[in-house]
Amino acid sequence: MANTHVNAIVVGAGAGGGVVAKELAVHGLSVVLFERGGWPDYDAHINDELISQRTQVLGSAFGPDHRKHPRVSIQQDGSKQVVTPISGDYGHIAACVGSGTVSYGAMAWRFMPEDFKLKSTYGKVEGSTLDDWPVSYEDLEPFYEKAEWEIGVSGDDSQNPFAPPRKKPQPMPPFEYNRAGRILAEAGSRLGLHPFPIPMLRNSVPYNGRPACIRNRTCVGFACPVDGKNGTHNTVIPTAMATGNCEVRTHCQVAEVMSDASGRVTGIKYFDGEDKGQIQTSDLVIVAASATETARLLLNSKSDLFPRGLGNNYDWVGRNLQGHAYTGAVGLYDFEITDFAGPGASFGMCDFNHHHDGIVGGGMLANEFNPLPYLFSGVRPPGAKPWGREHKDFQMKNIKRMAVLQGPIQEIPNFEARVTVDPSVKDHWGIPVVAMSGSRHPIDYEHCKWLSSKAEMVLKEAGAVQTWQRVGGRGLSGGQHQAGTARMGNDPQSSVCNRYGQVHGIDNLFVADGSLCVTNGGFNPVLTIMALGYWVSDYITRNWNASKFKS
Amino acid sequence: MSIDRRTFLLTGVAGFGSIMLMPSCVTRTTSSWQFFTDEEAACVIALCEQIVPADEHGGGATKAGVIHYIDRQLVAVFDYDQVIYQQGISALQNSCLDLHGKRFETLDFDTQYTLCTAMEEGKLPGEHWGELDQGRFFRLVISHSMQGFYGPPRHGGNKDYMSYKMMDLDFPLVVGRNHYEHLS
Ligand SMILES: Cc1cc2nc3c(=O)[nH]c(=O)nc-3n(C[C@H](O)[C@H](O)[C@H](O)COP(=O)(O)OP(=O)(O)OC[C@H]3O[C@@H](n4cnc5c(N)ncnc54)[C@H](O)[C@@H]3O)c2cc1C
Repeated sequence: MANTHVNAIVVGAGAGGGVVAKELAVHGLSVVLFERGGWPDYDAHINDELISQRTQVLGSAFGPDHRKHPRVSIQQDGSKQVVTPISGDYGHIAACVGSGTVSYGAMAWRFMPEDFKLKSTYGKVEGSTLDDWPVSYEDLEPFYEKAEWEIGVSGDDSQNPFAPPRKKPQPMPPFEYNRAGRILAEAGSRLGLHPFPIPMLRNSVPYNGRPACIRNRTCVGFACPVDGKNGTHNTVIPTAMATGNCEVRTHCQVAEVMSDASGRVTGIKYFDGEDKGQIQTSDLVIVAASATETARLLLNSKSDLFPRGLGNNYDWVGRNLQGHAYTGAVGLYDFEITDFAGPGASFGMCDFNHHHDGIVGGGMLANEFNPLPYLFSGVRPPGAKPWGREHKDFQMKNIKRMAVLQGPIQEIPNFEARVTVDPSVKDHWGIPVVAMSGSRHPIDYEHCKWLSSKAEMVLKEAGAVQTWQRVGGRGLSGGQHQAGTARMGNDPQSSVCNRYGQVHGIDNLFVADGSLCVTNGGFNPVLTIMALGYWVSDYITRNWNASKFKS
Repeated sequence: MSIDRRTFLLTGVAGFGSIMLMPSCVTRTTSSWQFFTDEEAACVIALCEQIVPADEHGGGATKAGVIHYIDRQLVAVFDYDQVIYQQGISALQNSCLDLHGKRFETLDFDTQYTLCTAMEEGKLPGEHWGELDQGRFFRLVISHSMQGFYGPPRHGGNKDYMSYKMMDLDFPLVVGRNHYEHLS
């Protein structure tokens, strides 16, 4: 039996897609929210490091299934490797209702006004596609606020002198520092820096009918056993369902967005949970499948009118793939600096986010999430033997004596860092898969060295007996903070979507995820993606009438 | 992590094919293991004990049952590593017989340590290794040993959460809330 036609299809039940589904449903549109994964479930994986969203050597508790979803990674020398979530180099977020917002660390940053205007603030960067957003911080401010209140953020910006202006405080008080946070924050203050508690999409007090965070030792990489961590799966998506206007269709792999001879989209083709090919038609399609998978879906949606894929007339779909090079330093102490109060990351500093000579952008610094035992076995000073007595002794003595201070560097986008599709490698359903190629702009590595040296300075001030830098910034970008592959812009020839996420030239096709971000800030991106979800939805609902746009 | 990645990249495309097409393609004689023969297992047990030895903190890989972890994964998620294990074990044994006239697991701890260091540096007699990169084989066993020793017990290793206890990471994660799951 054919599926009933609906007003809107949203592809992807993650950060952006969850928000859009809720907003449209609340405004009376009939919505089907498609998700390739299922509903997350804490009991199925408990605190199992080897299938957590941090390690995944035995698979991903929150998807995607490594047997069904290969990808291709194209190396600098042009060689091609088939990769899966267990192999590494795969660059995914997750695949379940909520996606990354189920297992994330839940840092809830607003970008700073400069983050939307990098080009006009710093000028051109050779070899890059650096540009300003067609949207300003002021445009997004009300939508950041909506994300903070509807999804739930704990924090207090008044302690951060670099915080962007806001109209309303965050709805919950900030978390207390854990031990490492307190010690490092004090060291930062002594150096004249400005530490403050990290804003978090976690409940510091009961909120929206769910309990407060219990400071579980294992948090990032895992679901929350008491549901005190806020994602789209336990906030906006249930709200959307409660309206009666939104159906969440899980275990459905969307293969293609269909379009007609007039150049408008008509719905999607997908494979259901039994691998059966299906069609769902709609008035509107909103793609929110994450920066890599959104690019793949658009590129795989070819027709006579769009032989290179939807939105790709000028070859910009999949370009400017960004993420965050994490960079920082490790310090060892002669006392137990880690008390394992979850999630670990507890204090941040924005002193290095803008306006430093020779640095375009910069990055926030925060203490790192609690170490996990297997991953910690890979953390050793440079040159240390990776096995044997010495290695084990280090593990037992130092897992609580280590502090890591690091942050996401603002990456400078380039045209060759990109997602394409590889027609010769197909997924379980025969759909050509994501191929990732190119590398970060060389300036990222310079920025990373600079930020790592700042991190090391703070660790030393806090009394570290030994420190070493971990400098990121080389190789392929993307990953958990992937962004930029369907960038917004005013010029259809050098962007994919307009300032409302509407694909240039196709009035009923939108993008609403990390793909839209022209640049990716010096901060974890999820709150910005949620705000963009509200921003795109606001445009749609203001201009929508029954089954079409108001003329 | 980089070890896992590097290792996989080398087996790359072939590896993916084997996941899809030919799980557990190797026919084995009967043994008490899912993948290993008893002889192979004895060698891997000794090798893992070198990687994570017993010491003043407590037991090592043997006591933690790391071999159970590896054996189990080799017929599941790591099935594409079956061949490298078989070839690696056999090359190591031939190297030991050649140098010391004995199998690896029967040598004393210090001799085993010296052999592991040589293997890590690619210095065991090349004629026994053929195409196989001995350093790569050793790094693979290192990463699997770390997973089996420091990963959760539900996958076969880290018996009774012993490594967590040595790190003083034992339950509950938060007082009164979480408990170790009970394994039958
Ligand atoms: C372990 C971890 C920790 C993180 N910590 C933080 C943090 O502390 N702070 C922060 O800001 N960010 C964090 N992130 C990043 C954050 O989760 C992402 O930025 C965010 O989820 C991206 O939103 P999105 O809407 O672009 O994509 P996603 O949230 O990934 O949503 C995309 C959804 O689309 C689905 N999908 C894809 N293709 C298809 C298809 N063809 N058919 C059907 N469905 C499809 C996917 O399964 C997925 O559910 C973390 C991520 C991870 C994994």
